[in-house]
Amino acid sequence: MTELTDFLPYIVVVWLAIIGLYGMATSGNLFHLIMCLCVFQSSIWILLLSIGYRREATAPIFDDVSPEVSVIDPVMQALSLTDIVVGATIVAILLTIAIQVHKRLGTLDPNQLNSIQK
Amino acid sequence: MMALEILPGLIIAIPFLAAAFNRIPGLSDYRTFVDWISIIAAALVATLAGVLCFYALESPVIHWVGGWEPREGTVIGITLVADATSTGFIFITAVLTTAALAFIYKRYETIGSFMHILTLIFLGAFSGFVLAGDLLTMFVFLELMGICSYILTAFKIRDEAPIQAGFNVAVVATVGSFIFLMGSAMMYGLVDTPNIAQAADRLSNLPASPALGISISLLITGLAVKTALFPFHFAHADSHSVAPAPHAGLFGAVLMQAGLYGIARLSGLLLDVPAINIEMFPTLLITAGVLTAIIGAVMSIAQNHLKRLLAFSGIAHIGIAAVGVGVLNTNGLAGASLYVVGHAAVKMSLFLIAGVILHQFSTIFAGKLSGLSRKSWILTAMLVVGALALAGVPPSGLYGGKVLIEEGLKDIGLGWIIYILYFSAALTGAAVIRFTVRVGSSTTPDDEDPVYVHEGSKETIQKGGFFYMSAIPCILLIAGVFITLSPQVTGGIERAAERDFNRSAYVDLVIFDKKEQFVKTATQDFWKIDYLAKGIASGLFAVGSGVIFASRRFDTSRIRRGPLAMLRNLHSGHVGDYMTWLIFGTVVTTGWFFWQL
Repeated sequence: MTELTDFLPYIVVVWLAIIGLYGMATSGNLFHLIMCLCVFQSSIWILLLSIGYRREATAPIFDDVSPEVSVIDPVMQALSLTDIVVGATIVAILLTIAIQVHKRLGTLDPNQLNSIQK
Repeated sequence: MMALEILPGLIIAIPFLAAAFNRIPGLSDYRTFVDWISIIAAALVATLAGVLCFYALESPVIHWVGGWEPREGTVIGITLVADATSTGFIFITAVLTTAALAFIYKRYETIGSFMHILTLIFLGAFSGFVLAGDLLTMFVFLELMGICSYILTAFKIRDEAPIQAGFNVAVVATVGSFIFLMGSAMMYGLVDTPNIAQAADRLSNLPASPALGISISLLITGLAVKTALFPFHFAHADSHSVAPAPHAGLFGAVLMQAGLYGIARLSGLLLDVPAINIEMFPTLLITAGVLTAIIGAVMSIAQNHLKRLLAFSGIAHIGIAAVGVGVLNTNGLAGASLYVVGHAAVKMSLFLIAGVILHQFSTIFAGKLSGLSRKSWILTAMLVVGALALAGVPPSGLYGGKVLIEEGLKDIGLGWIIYILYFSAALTGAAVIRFTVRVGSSTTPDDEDPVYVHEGSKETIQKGGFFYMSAIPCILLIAGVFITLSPQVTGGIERAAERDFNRSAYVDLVIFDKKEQFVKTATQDFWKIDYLAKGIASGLFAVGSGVIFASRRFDTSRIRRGPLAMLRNLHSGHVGDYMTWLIFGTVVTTGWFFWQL
C-alpha cells in the first residue's frame, strides 16, 4: 500500500503532462489552449511537491518545533510558489494576446490565423 | 578581491534598478530621462562585465549570495559563477543592448518607457541566467528572459502578425522552460541539491537509472527549445521576424545562444559521469545542429522579407554553433564561443540595418522596395559586407569559429561535417546577397506578396537620424568582421573554453574554492591556406548563388511545388503544429537517452 501511494503522484504527473500537451497540440480555441497550458503546469506543481514530500514530517517552520524534527523539503515548496507566479504571468500575457486576437480578427481559432505564412 | 566578488551581483542588480527608475511617476514621461538612464545602465553593465572578464580569465570569481558559503563541502547557498565565458557573454549582450537602446532613442517617438524597461529586464535576466550556479536560479532567470521576449515579440499589439507570433512563441518557449524545470526537479530528487557543481560531484557515485536518463534528457530538451534547434525552431523564426528590429537583433544574436550556453554548461558538467554513456551525446546534438543549419539556410534563401530572412539565417547559425558544442572538446567549445561572438555582432548589425531601411523606406519586403543602391550606397555596402561575414569570409568571427569547430570535428573523426556547415553558412550569405540584388535594381519588381508580415504603425516613428542610426550597425559590423584578427580575443576564448567547461576544475572551484592553474596551450593558427581557401570559396559561392537566385528564372521564393514548398508549408504559423513538433522532439530526445543509457 505504501509503495502504491508513493508512486501514485508520479502517475498523476505523467497523466496531466500528457493530456496538457495533447490539448495544446490539438486545441481549436486559444482560451482552451491556455487552460491546457495550466493543466500541463499543474503536473509540474505535483511533481515538485511529491519530490519534496517526506513521510512523517511536518511543515518546515521552526517557530514551535525543535530543529531536530524532520521536515518537508522547503526548497521544492518555494520553487512551486515561484512556478505559480511564473505561470500566472504567462497566463496573463497569453490572455492579453488572445483578447487582442479576438478584437483584431474576430476569431479564437488558431486554424483561422494566417497572418504569418511560410 | 572583495570588490571583485561583489561585481556579479551588481551586474544583475543594475538593469533591474534602472528598469525600476524608469517607472518613477512624473519622470517616466520625460523621454530623455528614460533613454539616458537605460543607456547608462546597459553601458555600465558592459563595463563591469568587461572588467570582470579580464580578471576571470586569470582566476574565476565566485559570489555567494548573502555570504552563504559552502560548509564542509556541502553547498547551502545560491552561487553566481563569474568565469571568463559567462562574463564575456554578458559583456557581448550588454554591448548589444546598449546599441539597441541607442537605436531606440532615435527610431521611436511615442513609445513611453515600456520598451526600455523590457529591454533592461531582458539584460538583467540574461546576466542572471548566465551567471547562475544552480538549476533553479537558471530556471527563474530563463523564464524571466523568455517573458520579456514574448512581450517584445507582441509589442506592436495592433497588428495581426505580432500577436500571432507572440502567442506561438509564448506557448512553445514556456513549455520548453517547464520541461527544463521538470528535469531540474528530478535532478534535485536524485542528488538532493540544485547546485550544478555539487550535482556533478554527486552524480559520479550514482548508478544509472531511468530517472537519471529522463532528468538529463528533459534538461537538455528544455534548453534546446530555447536554443531553437530543429524541431523546436518554428515559433522562434516567427518571433524574430515580427519583433521590433533592435529586439529581433537581440533575440537572433544572444537569446537563442543563451540556451546553447546552458546546454554547453550542463553537458560538460552533468553528462561526463559513469552512469551515462557520454559517447551518444555528440551524435544527438551534432545531428540536431546539422539539420537546424540546413533547414535554416534553405528557408532563409527562400524569403523576400529581410527580417524573416535574417530570422532563419540566425537559426542556421545557431545550428552551426550547436555542432561546435556537440563536439564536446576544447576546440569545439572554443569554436562555438568565437562563432557566437562574431555572429552576434554581425546579426545584430544586419537587423539594425533592416530597422534603418524600414525607417527610411517604410518597407523591408523585396517586392515593394526598389532602387536601394541608388538611394543609399552605405546601406547596400553594409548589407554586402554583412552577407560576406555571414558566409564566413576571413577574417570575420564566423570564419575563426568555423576553423576551430573544424579542428574539433577532426578530433572526433567527423571532419567531413564542416563542409555541410560551410555550405549552410554560404547559403545564408547568399540569401542576404539575393535580397540586396533584388532591391538594388532600379526596375520595379512585381508586387506579388507571398510572405506577408505586417509592420508597425508609422505615427510612432521619429523623422530623421539616418546617419546616427546607420553608424550603430556600422560599428558593430566592423567589430564582427575583424574580431579573428585579434590574438587576445581568440587566445582568451580558447583558454576560457579549456578552463570553464572542465568538470573537475569547475567542481573544485565552486565547492572547495580551489583554483587550478591552466597552462596556456598552443593557440590555433587561423591563417593556414586551406582554411583561407574554404572561407573565400564560401564567400564566392554566396555571391554567385545570391546573384543567380535573384534572377527571375531561378527565383526561390516563387517555387510552389517540390521539397522547398513542402518545407515552407511546415512553417505554418499554427501553434498546434508547433506543439506537435515539440512533443515529437521531446519524445525523440528522451527515447534516445533511454536507448543509449
